Amino acid sequence: MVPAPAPVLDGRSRLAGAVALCVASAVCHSWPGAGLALACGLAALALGWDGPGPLLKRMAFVNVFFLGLLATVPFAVPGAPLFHISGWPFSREGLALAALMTAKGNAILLIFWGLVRPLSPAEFGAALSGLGMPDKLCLILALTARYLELMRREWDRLLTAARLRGFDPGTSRRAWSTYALLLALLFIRAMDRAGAIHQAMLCRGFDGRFRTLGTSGWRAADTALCLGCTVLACAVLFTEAL
Amino acid sequence: MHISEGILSAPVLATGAALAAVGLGVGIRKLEGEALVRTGVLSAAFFAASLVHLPLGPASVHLILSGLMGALLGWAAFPAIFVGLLLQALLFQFGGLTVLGVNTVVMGLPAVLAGLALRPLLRKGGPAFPVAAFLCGALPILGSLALLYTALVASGGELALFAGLFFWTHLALMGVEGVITLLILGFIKRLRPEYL
Repeated sequence: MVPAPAPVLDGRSRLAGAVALCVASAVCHSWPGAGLALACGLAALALGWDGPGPLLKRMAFVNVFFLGLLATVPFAVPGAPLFHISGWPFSREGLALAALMTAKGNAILLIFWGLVRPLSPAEFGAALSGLGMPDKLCLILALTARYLELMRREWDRLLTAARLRGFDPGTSRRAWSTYALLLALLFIRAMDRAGAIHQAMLCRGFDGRFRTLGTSGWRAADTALCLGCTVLACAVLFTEAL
Repeated sequence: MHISEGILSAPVLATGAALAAVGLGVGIRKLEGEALVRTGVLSAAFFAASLVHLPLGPASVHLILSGLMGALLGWAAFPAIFVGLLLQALLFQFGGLTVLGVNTVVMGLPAVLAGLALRPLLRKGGPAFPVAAFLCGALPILGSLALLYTALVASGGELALFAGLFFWTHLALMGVEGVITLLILGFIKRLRPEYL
């Protein structure tokens, strides 16, 4: 069996760099800072690019929220009105503020997309553990990631079985009651399963501590990424002071 | 019920992170052995359930079930919700790293408080059970909306209109979550009363 090629960057450096850049982007208040954060986001895409399709789809979804801000904030901020709706002024300053929030939000999305999204849940958990997250939280994360797909399949099985017996999803008391029964079964099976999983873990020597299979190893590229992200985060914050 | 990145002010983000750290500390303090494993597996089940779309007229709503988490897990609902939000950020880019603390508190705190307060009534029979089960689903939604409103308004008065609209347009979720939680808890009480 040919081993999978080792990832170029360690999850810890990706996550630490993303946190530094995301925090700096989140707390900046000016267009120079937000512009630099957007540039950082675009640069970060080089570390996690998998084509424009998925990114544009996700950006469109996330920006629906920001459309709400662009539609409401200009009415709440006093300033030079661009137009009036039912006597309410839609201010230029408010629109600029909402656009700034949108730019910051998109910058953080791009940073996350490039640096963190390429990690699998297992690599993500190992990185969090390596950065000092408590063992118990890492274990809950590992179990959630491990059993998520199984629970989704279980739900699909329950729903398919109900449909084969004539269940017609709709807005009715009977349909909601059936959904509730299926969800109750999902949770009961999850709790029953948890007991068996714990027994199986004990049989394999589980002593309550979370052990990862190891990270990919810290390289010079990881140090360079961390230093680069720190410098860029400081630059974003420095533009605030100008 | 997430707040996106780039909106909240630094003091609100810091307060949210500090409160979330306290909640997580309390939540995992007594989690050992099977309870720890149950939290992880139930967290996966709730994550899967949150992807279910319940038909509502011509549209559909996706379930939150935070009150049910509070009832089944108690304080452990806090780390379960934190992990769920962390995975949602990783897999779907909902929420994010800097708002993780605020989002955890917004969803987790009302869920834990309602679960702990109503658990004794959920174990009883008679008319107390349906009332407590409905409130267990409905009150955490009201609490989450109130906390979300507070976080937005505390970040700047310019967000007040958006926060108000968000609050009132999502208030009907209280009824949806209350009814579905009542039905789910009713089935769990009949099938496995020891889990309540």
